[in-house]
Amino acid sequence: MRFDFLKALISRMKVPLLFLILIVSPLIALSQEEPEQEERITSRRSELWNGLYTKYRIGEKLFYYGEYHLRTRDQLVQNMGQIYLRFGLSYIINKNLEITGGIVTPFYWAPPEYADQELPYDKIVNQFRFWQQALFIQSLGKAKLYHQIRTEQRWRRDYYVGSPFELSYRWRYKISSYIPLNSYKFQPGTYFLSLYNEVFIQTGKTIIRNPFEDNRAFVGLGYILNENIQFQVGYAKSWQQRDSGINYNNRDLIRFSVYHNLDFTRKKKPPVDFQPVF
Amino acid sequence: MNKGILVFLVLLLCGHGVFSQDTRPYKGGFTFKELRGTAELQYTLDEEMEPILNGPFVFNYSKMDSLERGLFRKLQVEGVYAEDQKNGDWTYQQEIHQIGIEDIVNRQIQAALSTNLVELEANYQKGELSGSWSYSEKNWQGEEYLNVFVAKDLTFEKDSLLGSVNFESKDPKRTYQIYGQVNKEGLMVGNWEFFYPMDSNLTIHETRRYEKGFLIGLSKVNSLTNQKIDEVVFYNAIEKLDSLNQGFEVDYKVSDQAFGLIFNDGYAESSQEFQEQYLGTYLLEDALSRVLQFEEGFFSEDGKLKKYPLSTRRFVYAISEEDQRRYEEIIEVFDRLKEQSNQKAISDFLSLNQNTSDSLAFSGAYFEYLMRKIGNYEQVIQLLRNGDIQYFDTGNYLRDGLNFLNSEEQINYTYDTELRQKTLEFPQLSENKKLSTDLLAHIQREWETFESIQDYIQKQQVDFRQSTELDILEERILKEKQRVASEKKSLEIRNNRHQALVDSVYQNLSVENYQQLLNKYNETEGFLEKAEVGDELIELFLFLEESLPELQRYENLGAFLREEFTEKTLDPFTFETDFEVLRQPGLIQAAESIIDYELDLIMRSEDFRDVQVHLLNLDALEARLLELKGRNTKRLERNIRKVSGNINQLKKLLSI
Repeated sequence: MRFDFLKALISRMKVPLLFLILIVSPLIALSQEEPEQEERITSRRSELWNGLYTKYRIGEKLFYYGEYHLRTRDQLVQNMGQIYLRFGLSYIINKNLEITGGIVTPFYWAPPEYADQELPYDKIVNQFRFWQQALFIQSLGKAKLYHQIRTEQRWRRDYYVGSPFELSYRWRYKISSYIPLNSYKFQPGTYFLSLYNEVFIQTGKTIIRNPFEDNRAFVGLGYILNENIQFQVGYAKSWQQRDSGINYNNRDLIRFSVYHNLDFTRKKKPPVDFQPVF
Repeated sequence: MNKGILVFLVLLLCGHGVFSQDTRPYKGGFTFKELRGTAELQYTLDEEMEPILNGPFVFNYSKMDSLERGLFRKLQVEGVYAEDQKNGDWTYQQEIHQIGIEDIVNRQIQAALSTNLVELEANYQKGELSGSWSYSEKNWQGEEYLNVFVAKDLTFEKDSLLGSVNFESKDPKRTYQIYGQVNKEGLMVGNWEFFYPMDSNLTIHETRRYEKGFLIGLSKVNSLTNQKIDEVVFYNAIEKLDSLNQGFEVDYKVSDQAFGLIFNDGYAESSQEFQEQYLGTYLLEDALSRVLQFEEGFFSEDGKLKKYPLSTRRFVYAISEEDQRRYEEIIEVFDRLKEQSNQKAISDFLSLNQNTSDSLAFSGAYFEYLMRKIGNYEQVIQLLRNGDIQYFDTGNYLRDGLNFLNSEEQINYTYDTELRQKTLEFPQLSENKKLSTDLLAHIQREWETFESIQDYIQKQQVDFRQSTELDILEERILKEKQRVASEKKSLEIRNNRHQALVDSVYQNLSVENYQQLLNKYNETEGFLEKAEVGDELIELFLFLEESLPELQRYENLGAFLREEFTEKTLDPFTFETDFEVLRQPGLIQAAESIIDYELDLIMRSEDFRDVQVHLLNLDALEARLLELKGRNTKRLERNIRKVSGNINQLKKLLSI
């Protein structure tokens, strides 16, 4: 009797829970890895990722897309990590599919260990990328499931002075889900559970020992303030393989994101105001 | 630096708190002196959201008069308002064109055009007439404008004329010249000269002598021959002024108040003192009406001057307590007499049954006499009621003003084709004639006579009326009441608030309001009055029958409007296709506040007519909101937020 409510909750949340397990399992798997066959050097650190995501409607189905990130690292905020700017145009083909393309211009701050290097290095190094993305949207009861496939062509260089820009390719797949917690659908005032897992694969002439670049798993809480503003805060675990193939980054990420959207397609109408009768 | 920021923040907050102080420009329709034209002006809003004109003001009107064919009127006004008051220099230009189409030849209109042009340069200080004024009125004659009326170099101070006054009219309808002086108190002083034609052969030169607003003498002579025509010396007033000047103990003094153009020390309209002043004063009033024609506060609704920029003085007389008591009794008897004699029931009854008996035929004629007599009483009652009797020498007034107080009144009437007569007896006026006692005795007898005739008529009414009509009425009331009760039972209740609303409206109207009206019905005796209350009872139940099922809609109005204003859209982040967004939320919040307020009043009201008004308010709110749906109401919503829930201001903002 006392657990009736739990039964009801589980039966209602069956499908979202299944996906929750699917998405979160990498997190669990990462923490239960088998003993390594070869030597693996893992460094662990924590980072704070602040992001502003914008989508501004400029056509019936066309949106300007922008991401503006400020990331700090080491005990969350000890050192500057990146400023990361992503711009693009999104086109919503239908309610289940959206495609996006654009450019990315991140700026990377050299990690603190470069201070011990003898060779001269640049403190801040930029990159340039093109990116393309397809986003498939599925409704599962009141939850939403998103499959995001993203490709990037990256021109990047080392921090050492004079390092050349080299082209490599990145292939990303993200499965994510939003599950509304306090309403039957997404609307202003809705709190929702946000989950995702994203795999990063990279290829190219310079990619020799670490085609698997990263895996990020995230669990967080979202809130829809109104039609224009949403928030998300959460925790992500990132498991990165470095160029050497034996160096790994085990990162704990705290993410705080603001989502802002506006509709510029609305036609302005003449204002109506209180007008006394003369 | 910090102080600067603080001052800035304080100013910013103040600015937000009193948005109504913002000056707003307006260009559009405007009614000026009952003319609907266009204006360009600036205004602020007061706390009640009423506009306060502030700044330059330009008004234009040009229109063919809809009532009088061929009359085209143009008016241009320019000036400045400060805090809703005229201030500084103003100009008025009015053209009235009379177009008379005489013929149309080869599609060309042959028309006669006569034009009247009025030009006024005026001046105001905080809304009061002030400074120099110049007025001219011209008619187009032949090839040029000719002066019809001129009033140059007028000086005003605090709404009153000051110094020399000179009006000259060459208007063929009213030709006159008036010269006079006004002192600093706005009182007519010294000699006033009036020249006006009596007929084609005689032009009158009227001279009046004023002492600080008291008229002490008036003479009229033929302006050509100087032959005396009339003369009135106001000895009575001169004696009183002398007594006051010599410091005698008298029961009157000079009033502090100023009065109209006619000097009156209790002169009835039929008296010589009044009559001799009439013509000159009429022309003076004509001149002032022309000069002040663009002023709002100086004219009554029927277009007559009610406030004058120059005045006369009067004496104020002490009234004893006994006289005051008698005056009050006279007013009370008069009001009773007027109210009772105006009953529609009696006049209806008499008009139907006047010829059925001698007494009823007499009663009909008596009521006609009484109506005339009440008309005669009106003037003196008005004087008693507004206290102006204290400015009347009652001795003077009794001489001519109460000449309708006859000791006998003959009532002539016809019954059965025969002309008959009855005489009503009234007390004789006392030897030394005293207003309070003589008038009281007369009106008391008037009441007694009326009462006895009314009693007789009411008895006749009871006999004549079919009481069955009331039985039918009462039966219908009960039937309607039962119908409402069963309707209430059959209502489908949506929620607790709907239940509470239905219960309160039913209890307050079907029980409380019904009981009040029923008590009134039982207390009322006359058939027609009873029937009127009965009809009201039926109206109450018909209203309930109609409105009880509608209460659900009113209770749900807030939710309905919220739903109407909620739009489903696509959220580009979650891809929710049914993302519900409340559009124009400020309007909805305001509407919900007003709905709660009106429903609360409905639930408390024990008068179905009040409830009717509140329901109409809700209908108006719904219509207004739907009218505003989808329009750009951001500015309006900002203003709504600023009035922070003040229902009256919210209603005004939403034009309800």
